[in-house]
Amino acid sequence: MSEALTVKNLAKHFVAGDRILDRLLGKKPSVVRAVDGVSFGIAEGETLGLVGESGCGKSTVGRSILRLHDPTRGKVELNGQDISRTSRRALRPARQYLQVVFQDPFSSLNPRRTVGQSVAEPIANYGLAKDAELRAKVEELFQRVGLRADQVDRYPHEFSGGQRQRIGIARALATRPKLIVLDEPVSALDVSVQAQVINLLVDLQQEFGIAYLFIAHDLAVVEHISARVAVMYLGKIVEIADKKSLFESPRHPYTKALLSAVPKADPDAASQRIVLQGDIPSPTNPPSGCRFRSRCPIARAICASEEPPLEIQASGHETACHFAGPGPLATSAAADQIGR
Amino acid sequence: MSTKQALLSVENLAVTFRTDRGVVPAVREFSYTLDAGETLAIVGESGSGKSVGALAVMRLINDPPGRISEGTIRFGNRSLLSLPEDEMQDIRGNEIAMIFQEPMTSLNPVLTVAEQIIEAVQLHQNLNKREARARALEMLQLVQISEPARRLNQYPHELSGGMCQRVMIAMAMACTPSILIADEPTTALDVTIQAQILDLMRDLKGRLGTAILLITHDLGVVAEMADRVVVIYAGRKIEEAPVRDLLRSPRHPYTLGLLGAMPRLGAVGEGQRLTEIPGTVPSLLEPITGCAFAPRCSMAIERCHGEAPPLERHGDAQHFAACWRSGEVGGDR
Repeated sequence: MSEALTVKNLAKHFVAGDRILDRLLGKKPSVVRAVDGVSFGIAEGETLGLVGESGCGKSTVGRSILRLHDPTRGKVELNGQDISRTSRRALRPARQYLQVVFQDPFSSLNPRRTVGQSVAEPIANYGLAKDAELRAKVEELFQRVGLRADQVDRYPHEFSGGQRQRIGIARALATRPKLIVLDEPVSALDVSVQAQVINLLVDLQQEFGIAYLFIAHDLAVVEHISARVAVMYLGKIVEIADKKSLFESPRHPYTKALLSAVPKADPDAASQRIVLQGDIPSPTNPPSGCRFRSRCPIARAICASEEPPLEIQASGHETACHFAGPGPLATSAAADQIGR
Repeated sequence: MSTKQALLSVENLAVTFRTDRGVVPAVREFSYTLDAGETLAIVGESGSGKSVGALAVMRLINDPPGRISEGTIRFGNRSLLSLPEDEMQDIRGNEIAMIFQEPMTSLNPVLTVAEQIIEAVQLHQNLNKREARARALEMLQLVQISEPARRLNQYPHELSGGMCQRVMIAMAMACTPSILIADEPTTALDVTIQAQILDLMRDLKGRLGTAILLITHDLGVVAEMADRVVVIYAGRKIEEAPVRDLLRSPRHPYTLGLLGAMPRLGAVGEGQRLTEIPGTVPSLLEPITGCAFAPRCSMAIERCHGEAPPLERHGDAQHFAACWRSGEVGGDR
């Protein structure tokens, strides 16, 4: 299967506190390593889920792929073409095949334009249709995402959150993309509406063969929609695997803790929760070695000195941990806790 | 419902809000009770009235635009809606405390953690500054915050979201209230931090015997925390049951729909579709005739559109549902 998107060793660092006053005072700017070397591929028509907690860098990965940020290093190949350094002008044709849907559908639609105009814009921009044909295309898109054709002349404020997200999806679909980056697309929606949007995304993928990079913090949603899943922690992918393998036999202690922390709507769910201590460290000053070691219940001396690489553990299952393994996490107090 | 004397009992509450486009009945005919030491969850989607139903207990509805137009709220043997403001002030934060969804914005950014807890303590307890500070430290230790002594002198912006929520809980519990109202206490937090806070709330409830009124949209959180559950839709209670009954054999199509619409962790159903609830929540600006859920309900019959179903008991359990066809709903999950 050929890949719609290949990301190689992608990094995005932000420089904070680099102001003239700071320089005069001889302060060194601090570097936020939001994304620090991630690699993955997404096959045509496939969904890769990218999960992690706030600040882990998952949205920055999406934005760097879209070139809303210029990556610090690494490659982003769309249909075999590296778009990580191309000029804005040279990027234009690639962008037709690369679209995005954001979390907040209200702030991503122009309040002064009708929603039909917002959806028509990318189509006209790429010269895919004009005049009556353009309008017909927009109306068709509206119907395809579950809206009525007569709603194209309305303004964003006239729609509910779920409907606005459908409009955002229609706009992303308009240029017949190969890949859509979905950045928390259902997080702002109520459960009953969330299900509608998820089902719609699944249907559209089957119909048009679009690949999705589905960025979210909700593990149940990611499990539902993805074929493969990557788990991020402090700017790195700590585990990436086929959905079934990842959710049924996670091998990284962070993935295990994350999965165990999700409250389940089942009064009889066996609760063997691993409660991680402390908060996520700052990405300006991540722990040495394995970045998870400061919260890891099984960390040992080697974790502080050597960064574990992503290694293949089982077919299609890669984990970055010196002590990765299936089975329950032994929160051994006896484990050598040096470096915590 | 209210057989023996409950700690808190809300009866027939109605709250309206005046808006530019008309009067919105945020909650109607809303009743619930909370016993000492129990956790009651009020579950609903945005705009369902779940927060309003709890804020009314604290008399924190701004008038105008809001107004408690009907109902009684009894706390022990006091009727909260007819108390003078100064007596209500004594109850608020002292006997009934509250924590909110956004711990970052609920704390005062220009006061240190110590100053905020001391203020809360001194308002209700006759302690001098030194004693109050000792109490603040004790509370921070109780909520298991890391390095409690150092936190006392820090400002909210120096703390993470999880730590801010611990400070909020420390402040709320400082006067050992008999009721803690928690309005979406973990919604803004990451899942591993949420797990810490839920554990903490359970632990404190066990140790201090505080009753918790938990407002949430997350049925997962409900399953972990609640003893009983009230489901609210478009301002009305549509189902009430012990947590196991509600999740295992819901009696209202809306509750059943919510459970089906939620993707479940571990249900790796390849290509399986989520059950959609079609349409959206009705606008409360328009008068609702019949059952508010009827336009979205796959089981609706003619009667549902014309006549609002009353809340009725099912079997001999404490399970109530407001649906003409509730006997046919669901079955065991």
